[in-house]
Order: sequence, then C-alpha cells, then structure tokens
Amino acid sequence: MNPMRLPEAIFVGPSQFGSAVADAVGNGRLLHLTHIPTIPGREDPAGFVLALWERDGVPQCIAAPGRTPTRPSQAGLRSAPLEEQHLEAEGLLWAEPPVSHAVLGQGVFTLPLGPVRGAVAEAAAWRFATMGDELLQLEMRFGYKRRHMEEQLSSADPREAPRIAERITATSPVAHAWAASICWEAALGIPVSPEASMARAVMAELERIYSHLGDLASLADSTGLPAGAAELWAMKEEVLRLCHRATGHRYQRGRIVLGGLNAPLESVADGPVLLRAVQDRVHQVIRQLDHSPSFLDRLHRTGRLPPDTATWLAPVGPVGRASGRPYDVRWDLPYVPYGTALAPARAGETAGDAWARYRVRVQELDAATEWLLRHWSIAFEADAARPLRSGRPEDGLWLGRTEAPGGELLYLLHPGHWMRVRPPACVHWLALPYALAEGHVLQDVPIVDASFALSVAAMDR
Amino acid sequence: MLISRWMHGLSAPLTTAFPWRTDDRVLPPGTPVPQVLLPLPAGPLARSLAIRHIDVGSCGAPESEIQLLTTPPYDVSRFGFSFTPSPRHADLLLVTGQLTPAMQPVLAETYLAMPEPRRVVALGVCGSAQCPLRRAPSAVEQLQPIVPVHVFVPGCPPPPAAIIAGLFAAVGRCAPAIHWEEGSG
Repeated sequence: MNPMRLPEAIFVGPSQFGSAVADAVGNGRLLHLTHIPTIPGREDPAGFVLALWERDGVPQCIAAPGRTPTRPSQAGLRSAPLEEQHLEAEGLLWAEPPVSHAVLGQGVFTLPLGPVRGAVAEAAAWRFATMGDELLQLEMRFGYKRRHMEEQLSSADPREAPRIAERITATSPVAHAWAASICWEAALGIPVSPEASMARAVMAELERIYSHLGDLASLADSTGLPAGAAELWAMKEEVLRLCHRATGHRYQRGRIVLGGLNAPLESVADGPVLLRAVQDRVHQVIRQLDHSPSFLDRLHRTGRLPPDTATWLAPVGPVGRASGRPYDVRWDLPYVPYGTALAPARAGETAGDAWARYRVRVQELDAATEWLLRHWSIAFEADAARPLRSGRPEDGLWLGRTEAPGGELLYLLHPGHWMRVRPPACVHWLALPYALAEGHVLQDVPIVDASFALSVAAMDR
Repeated sequence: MLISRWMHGLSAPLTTAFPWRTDDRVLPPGTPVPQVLLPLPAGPLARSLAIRHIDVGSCGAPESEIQLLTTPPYDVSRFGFSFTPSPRHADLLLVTGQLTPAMQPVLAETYLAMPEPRRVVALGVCGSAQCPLRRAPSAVEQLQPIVPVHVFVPGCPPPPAAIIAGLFAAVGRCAPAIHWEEGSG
C-alpha cells in the first residue's frame, strides 16, 4: 500500500470542492484535507487544497485552488488564516498590532508572547486577548523561522532529499527521511530490502520513545512537577545516547539513504537491557504521576478538543487517537511488517483532553518499547544499500506516508516539479485555539501546549 | 509527602561527572571543539551567568539539547548557569539555527536589550559545508554583522556536553576535559 502512486489529481474549481469532497467521503474514507501553499513563481496564487481519500484501498485525490477551509470561531477564539500570518511575519511586522482580528473592549487586555518566549522555546508569536484570567482569543503567527524547506526539497538531488528532510524538525528526523525516501524510491524504482525496512522501523520506534519521553517530561514540568519531569528527561537522554551508539548520531541523522541505509547499524548488545530499564523507570514515574492529585486535576478536562472540531480538522497521531480517531499509518497502511504488537496503543481514548493525550502517549511508549524488544536483533542484519545508479524518475504523483511520533507524516512528490510536506504539526497547530476555547484561563496554556507537543520548525509555512 | 515519595524512588545520582571526567557516552569521539571567535568583553562574569536563548531558524534539535542542560544528566545550574526568560536579565545570548530575514530585527532587539557586558554563543553548523541545507553564508557568518559572536559551538546539533564547554569558554573558564581536544583532532 505504501509507497503508492496516486492517480492524476482531479482538479476542480473552488466552488465544487466542498461537494466533491463530501461525495468522496460518502464513498470512502477521507485521509487528508490539507492545504499546500504555492511555491512562489507558480501560477495559482493561493496554493491549493488537496483532499486524499481511499476507495476500496485505492487512493484518490482531488485538488482545488484555494485556502484551507476555515470554520467560524468558537467562543470567540480563532486563529488567523495561515497565509496572512506568514506574510506578516515575512514582512517583519513583529511589533505591529494585529491587523484584522483584534478583540477590543473595556477590560480586554492583549498579551503578546514571542517570538522570543519562555526560557527555551522555538520562535513563534502568540497573542492572547484576555479578560481577567479568561482567554478570549488566541492568535498565532508562524513564519519567523521559515526556512523554505519544501523549496529546498523540490530543487534538491534525490540523493540529498533524506538529508534535507531530516532537518525539517528534530522531533522526527527518521520519519521525515523515511517518508521522503519512500517517495523517491517509488518514483525511481529502487528496491528496499525487508531487512533495511526493519532497521528503519527500529530507528523510527527509538525516535518515538525519546520524543514521547520528552513530551511527557514537558507535560509534567508544565504542571509544576519538576521531579517527575527530571526523571523523564534523564530517560530521554539515556535513549538519545542509545541512538548515538546504534546509528552514530543522537537524532539518528545521516543513516537513511535511498534504497535502505548507508551502513549497517552498530550492533548494541545491551540495547534491550537498557530499554527494559528505561521502561521500568518510566512505569514508576508514571505510577507516581497518576497518583499526584495536582497532576490529575490540571489535566482532566483541560484542552479538550471539541468533537466537531476533531471531525472536520481530522487530527492524527496521539492527538487524534485521544479524540477517538484510531487512525495509525503503521496499522492501517502497513509500510513494514509491524504486526500486532501495536494493538494496545491503537485502542486510544475518546475524551480529547490533555489527560487523554497523556494516556495515549504512555500507551504508545509501552507498545513501542515492547515492539523494539521483540525486534531488536533484526535491525542489525541490514546491509548497506547499493550505490544509487542515476535514473529518470517516473512521472506522476508519489505519496510517502510514515507515522511520526506526532502522527501521520505525508510527503507528496511530483518529480522534477515539487515536493510537498504535511507534518502532523501543521494540522494540530490549527486545533490548538479550539482546544483552548472552552473557558480556559492563561494558566492552562502551558499545559495544553505541552499536551499537544507541537514543533514550530515543522510548521514551515 | 510528595517529595518524600519522589525521593524514595531515587537510587543512584544520574548526574554525569562532566566536565572533570568525560566518557564516550557524554562526549562522543570526534565532537568538534568550541571555537572562541572574538576576545571576550571585560567584565566580572565568571561564576554566575544568566542565559537567554533565541531561536533564529533552527530545526528544534539545539532546543532539545539545550533543554537537557537543566536536567539531571547535565545540570548546568551546578556551574552557576541559569536560563532567564528576559533578555534584560541575561548576560549571554545563546543563538540557535540559521538566521531568517524575519528574525533579524528580533535578534538585534534582543541583543540590545541585554545589559553590558554581554556575550553571544552561536550553536550549530547550519548552512555551512557540513550541512545539506547549504545556503552561503553559513549561520554563524550570517550572525556576525548583526551581533558579535564570541564563541561558536559546531555540531548538528552540538551535544549538551559541547554546549557546556562553549558556555565555559564564553566566561573564560578553563575548557573541560583536556584529553578531548587531543582526541578530536
């Protein structure tokens, strides 16, 4: 199923897009509704919206010029259209007042935060309109750190594509390099051995473990439990060191090449022992967190993603699975034989609040560790990929999908023209204002932010 | 009660003995050594340092490593280093990533908000010949016209121990682990 070649996209006008998608969803399963901004110099000025869905296991695709569909604001909270945000940021307007979305009135206080914010945080600007403690509006601006990664990917040599892809965000370098490789391997007809796929999967699960450990640590830290956070961060460091020993890089960069891996992974004999020790330690910490009333009080019913928002925004990964959307690429579109080991993590939660996202991450952490323990020795059987012979990519639309720690990661390749990336954070940043809509106060923001655990770098828009 | 419960679970110290004794796990062989690019400004800073971090276009990996500095394995507070949310309290600016146009004025404003004597440490080889995102000039060369970069810590990303070494260099304290420089070539 993955890699796959898409049929030629059906291009429709903006007015027919809604009904075409509704029709498609009626007949199949909607996978994505995603907005892909245009590369400057192309003809359509507003980018295009792409809907992907599946009918009888065959991927289908509709594209229309236009913007991401926006929903009316809920409880006065909304996020400005993304295009305006990045244009404003590129225009160096960081100190300017909000142009079109200001909430004004007696007693309304506007709190600007960023792009230099927190103690250690990525560059993004938030603007809260508050009445007393209560949040009235959240406006988010990205684009301060826009590195034009899609353009670099579009113009790069295929051999360089995994190198560039893994620098899009540090939360999931393996998932990015893998998805980019899937696209190019399919377009160029390069075979990948099953052993190499398993080695990539082992790297991807290691990545999921350290990423989830860091996310859980941030969540504990945001609720004022530094002791729990410190333990989880120490475990993250343990896993990063394990990654370095196995792959030669703490974030496992530089190993995935088209056709497999550039060299066999270093055999780390005590890997399972270390992973088991980390798992035991994490279980202790989680048990203690689960029995800390201040932790439970601040997570339950906090940052609840309203069900109708979850329906139209279609969140993926842990955020989606916490809102009753069990979609998981590893399970639904198996790109390696992951088997049934991930079933417990798939069960998911339905509450959609910070607690549900916390529970889903804890379960996934466990499932990933168990899977790794079972498959550890297989990872080291893969040989180095053969040197790439130059070939002509086959024309068409090529889709690469992997399950990054944050959720489904989507790469779309049109060889010789463009490569587009839809990291999970692009969906979830849109969800954040809605999760903060239901009577939240300023003090909830760090908790909700940590429970989503979103990368700003991935939002390269 | 909560604290006693946490304390009960602690067995051995997690903190590494860095910088007096390093091992390959903490400082992998081949890690490049921090470079002092400019003479440090005269000032009384040596034992205590407030750090303001600014991201001018990174992938998030340096942030992940900086975050680990305050955690038990590295615990920079034992050396007198602390992170501050406000540039007005900061002695040192820790810059990560490749400078984007939108962050240029933000970086200048943040730097000017800091009291003197102020120092700048740049992290990462983004944009240089070692980076696939080649966009000459490299990140540190792009920073130079806007802020004086005193110390440059190479790496993609530099591991936490190398960042600590860079911070040591920025306050003129001895470089940790002498054997490191010999081994890295």
